[in-house]
Amino acid sequence: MLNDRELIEAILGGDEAAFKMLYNMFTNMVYNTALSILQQQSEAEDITQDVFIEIHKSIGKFRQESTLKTWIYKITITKCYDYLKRQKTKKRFAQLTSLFNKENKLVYDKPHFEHPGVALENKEHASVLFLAISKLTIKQQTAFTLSKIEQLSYQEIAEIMNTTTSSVESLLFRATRNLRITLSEYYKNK
Amino acid sequence: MTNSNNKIIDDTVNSIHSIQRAEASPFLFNKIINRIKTGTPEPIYYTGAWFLRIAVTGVVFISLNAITIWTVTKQPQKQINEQMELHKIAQEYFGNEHVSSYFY
Repeated sequence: MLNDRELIEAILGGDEAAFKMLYNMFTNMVYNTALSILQQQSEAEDITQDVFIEIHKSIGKFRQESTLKTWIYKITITKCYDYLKRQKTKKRFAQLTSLFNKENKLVYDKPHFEHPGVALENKEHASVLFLAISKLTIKQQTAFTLSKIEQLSYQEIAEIMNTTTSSVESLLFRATRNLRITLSEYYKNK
Repeated sequence: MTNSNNKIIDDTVNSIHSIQRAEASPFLFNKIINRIKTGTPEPIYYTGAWFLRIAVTGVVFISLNAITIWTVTKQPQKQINEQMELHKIAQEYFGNEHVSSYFY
């Protein structure tokens, strides 16, 4: 088993087996994080591809100030949020174009929640929960996903988010409070 | 908030613990290697958005300027026209040349 440094050097030397080893080590971590944030299988797979292409392209720039795992988490989170920003722009544009649309119907709408890790009996609760998570701020959403779904420690989350553990605690506290507010409004109106 | 509402919120929040790890497609690695080898560039997503932003900014800028110019040029003319009409009515009413002293 190669350590992080040896693995990086092997990949830089063009060793495809080493890249496959890295892929096997981190693919589920990347895929599940993307899936939790984007809530769509096909989009999570696209982001997983983009993350590994980015790793292959810029592994030479990795300065080893953090672990390989933290660095890969950072790339994944960045890619997911770039994607979400693009979706937001698309949605805004769709709202704008719908003003001129004869049927007055939104052209773009977020696809339905789709997570293969959710059991059928929990699907309804989970889809409501994920909808509420998507209403949180990007920082709260990241901290919540990494803590509750990826089950990372506060220290690891702080490293990924370039912040302190106390900030992570505060983000998680606010995320949980806001989630409960959103959910109570959702069930009140139902 | 009622107890039943609290229960359903708790159930929803706790549903996060039942989420299983999902497996990525077994063909994903080949797709990645294929993209790396063929050097498929990442799509440029922002070009359209930037173009749209610049276009919208341009349209707003031109519209605001046009409105300002229209306001500046047309309004005094309208005011002059109104004054002239008033003057004309006054002349008709009083029938003399010294109308302006009543108004101005």
